[in-house]
Amino acid sequence: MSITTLTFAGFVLLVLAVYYILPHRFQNAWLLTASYVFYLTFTWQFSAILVVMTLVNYWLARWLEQAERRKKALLWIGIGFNLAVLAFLKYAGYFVAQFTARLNSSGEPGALAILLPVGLSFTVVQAISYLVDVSRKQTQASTRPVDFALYFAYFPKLTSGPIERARTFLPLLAQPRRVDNRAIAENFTRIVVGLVRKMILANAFTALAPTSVLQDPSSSSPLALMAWLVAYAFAIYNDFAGYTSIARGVSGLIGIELSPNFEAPYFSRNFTEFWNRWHISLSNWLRDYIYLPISRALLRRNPSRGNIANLIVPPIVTMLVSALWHEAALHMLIWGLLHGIYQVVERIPSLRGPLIPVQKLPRWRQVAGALVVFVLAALAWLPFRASLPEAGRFLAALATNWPLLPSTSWMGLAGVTAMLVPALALDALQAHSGELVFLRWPRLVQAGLLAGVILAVFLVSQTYLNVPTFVYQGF
Amino acid sequence: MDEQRPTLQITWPFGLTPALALLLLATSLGLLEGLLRIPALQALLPPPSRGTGHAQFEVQYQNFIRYQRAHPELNCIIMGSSQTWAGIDPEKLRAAYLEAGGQPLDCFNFGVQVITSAEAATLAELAIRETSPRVVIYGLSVRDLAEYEGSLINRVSWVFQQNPWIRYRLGTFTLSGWLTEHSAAYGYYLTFRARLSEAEWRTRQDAAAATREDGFRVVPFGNNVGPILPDRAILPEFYDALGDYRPSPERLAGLDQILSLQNENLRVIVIEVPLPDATIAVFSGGKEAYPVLFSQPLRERVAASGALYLNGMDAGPFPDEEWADFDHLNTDGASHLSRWLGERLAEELTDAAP
Repeated sequence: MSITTLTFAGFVLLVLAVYYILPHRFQNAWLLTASYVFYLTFTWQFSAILVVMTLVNYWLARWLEQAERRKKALLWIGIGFNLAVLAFLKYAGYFVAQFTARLNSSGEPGALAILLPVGLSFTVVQAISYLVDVSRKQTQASTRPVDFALYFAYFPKLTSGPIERARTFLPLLAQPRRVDNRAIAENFTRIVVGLVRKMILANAFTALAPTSVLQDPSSSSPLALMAWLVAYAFAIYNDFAGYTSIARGVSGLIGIELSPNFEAPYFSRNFTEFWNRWHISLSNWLRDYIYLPISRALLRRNPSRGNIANLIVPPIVTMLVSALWHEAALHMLIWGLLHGIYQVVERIPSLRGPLIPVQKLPRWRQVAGALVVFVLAALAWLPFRASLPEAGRFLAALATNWPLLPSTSWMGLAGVTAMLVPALALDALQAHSGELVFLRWPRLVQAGLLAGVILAVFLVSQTYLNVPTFVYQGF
Repeated sequence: MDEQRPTLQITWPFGLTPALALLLLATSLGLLEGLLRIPALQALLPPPSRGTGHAQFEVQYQNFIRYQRAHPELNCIIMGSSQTWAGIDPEKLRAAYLEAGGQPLDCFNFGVQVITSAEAATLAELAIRETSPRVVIYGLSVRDLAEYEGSLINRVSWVFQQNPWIRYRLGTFTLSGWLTEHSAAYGYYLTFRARLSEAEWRTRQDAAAATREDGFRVVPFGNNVGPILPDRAILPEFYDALGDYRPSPERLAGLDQILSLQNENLRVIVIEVPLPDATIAVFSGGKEAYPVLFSQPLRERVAASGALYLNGMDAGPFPDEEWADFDHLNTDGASHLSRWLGERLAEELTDAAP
């Protein structure tokens, strides 16, 4: 069940109607039931896997907390179990499919291909952070099985995050919730903004970045290929940011606030800032459980400012882990490596002295920084989206298909330019005046805007016969 | 204490902004709808779309509606794929029919590119709901019935099965279909969307420029080269359809659906559109097998339904100069076939007095 469908809207209304009536002690059980019903709409096997993961992690954390000895071994067993599930269901599926493809005369992936549960990668990182936090005594092992099961299965965040830490999420489940006029207005706004991002902006940018260009980039001019990259960059961003906004809005109507995941990432002035604004919950997870432990270990050996290993290893390893989390594929590793290199290069001056905070740089350097970050991030999206041969052909065409000006693709260029105006305006507004800036506008303006959004979303839903699924649902 | 308090704590006034938004939306859409129904304004705009994404079908449908309004005497619809669109000229057919002693036969050529008998059946149903013809002429050849696939043919097949307006017109309620049919604003919105696709818009303009008001394709094909076979790598589905001919059950069912339109008020004529020798040579078993495996079973099927079968090959021979390419006649070829067809219909339909 996609969260942009009327079916999902009906499902949420039903869940809320019952939820609001129930006393607090039954609400979590109701939300858990609803979450599993939601997950069952994908396939029943996904729910079975989630049950197993929930039970194993629940008991492992309890043992971990009570264990006097061999705590580390238990932690690694837990991490190993979660990674094994991920490796088997996500990566083994890929390798088995490739292997059977070689066996088949047709070259098609075989029937042994394993089903990847929707949102599994998100569940696994939540499970690992929970076990690590329990072992570090940063949180207590949950003694409330329903709450713990809901932490994994909570339907607004189940398929694509945000990745919540148990230490912040479980206390929210323990306390009674309140949904008042203000909460409804704020979360309704989040849902509307999410629909605008997903249904209007992401769909339009996706249409402007057709797969056919990847298959035959040589028939496009460099300008058209650049426009494709820009369109793809904004498509993936608005797709994921749209999902998060809808998920946060739905959860807010339940009275549970989920973490923000995006803060106008394409306005970032360097890559450190970019990763603090893009998929924030994953970036924070990677920072806390990959980057900082490696960096601390390296600094323990050599605490000097000129520690080159500390400059290179933590960002590269972190970004490679991020790439593997997305997909076990060479092109994805290239994407991770590129982002790792970007971060290493921009921190080279830190070997000589403290870096000047980006907000204290002259205005022109901030603007130039933002442009450079966008161009490099857009180029890195190429191996994220395309196979290596496709990316190679794309770059070759970008470098050689001169003249720059296209003969036939003005409509595509005009389309990308036209869609950039509302996309950038929305980001600029939210970055400058806050996510819920619209609520401070006069009621008539709000109503006019909402009317426009209702119309646009309706038209898109009626005429895009196949609204693409959320990109991050695939992870 | 908190446990006792309800989660939902709303106070009035509540929901004023969404209510105002709906009011604004209803008012502005009402005004826009009224504005776009003014004929003077409509004359300045391109016609409202049906949202099919099949540019040439959209043009043909507009032509059909316009022609039907301008020619209340319309009593015959010619249907088929691009072979029929370019192969049967209603003007020449009418003249030959009259000359041979028949009564006026006013046809509209509703040929649509890249359709098979399955889609032609849908097209026939759509056309018959719009008007009440006395004669339906269905032009087909081996590709209309063969089992084969291709990206274009699959896409068109999907459009004819899934397009909300087509489904609505055929009796299944869809909101988008209802709006397309009844709202001028929605129709113009679909046109605007079509305009956003450069390729679709160009195809639409080319199709409009190439089509006469009676639906016939008058402009020669761009590849007007005579009966030269296409490269197998460029058009593999052509070789799949002919080289390994097997009738498709779905497409045969489409043919049967068209044949079932035959009744005392409506004559169905199936004409096998001619093909050049080079193309027939590709047919599995070659030129000798073609009549046995294709023409004869088709003749029998049509005869069994009570409809009339005519073989366009009988109008032949069609010299090389009358072929646009490997399976389309050019305008000269179309004249040749249409005159013959008019004469044959005059013989066959004299008693029916269409």
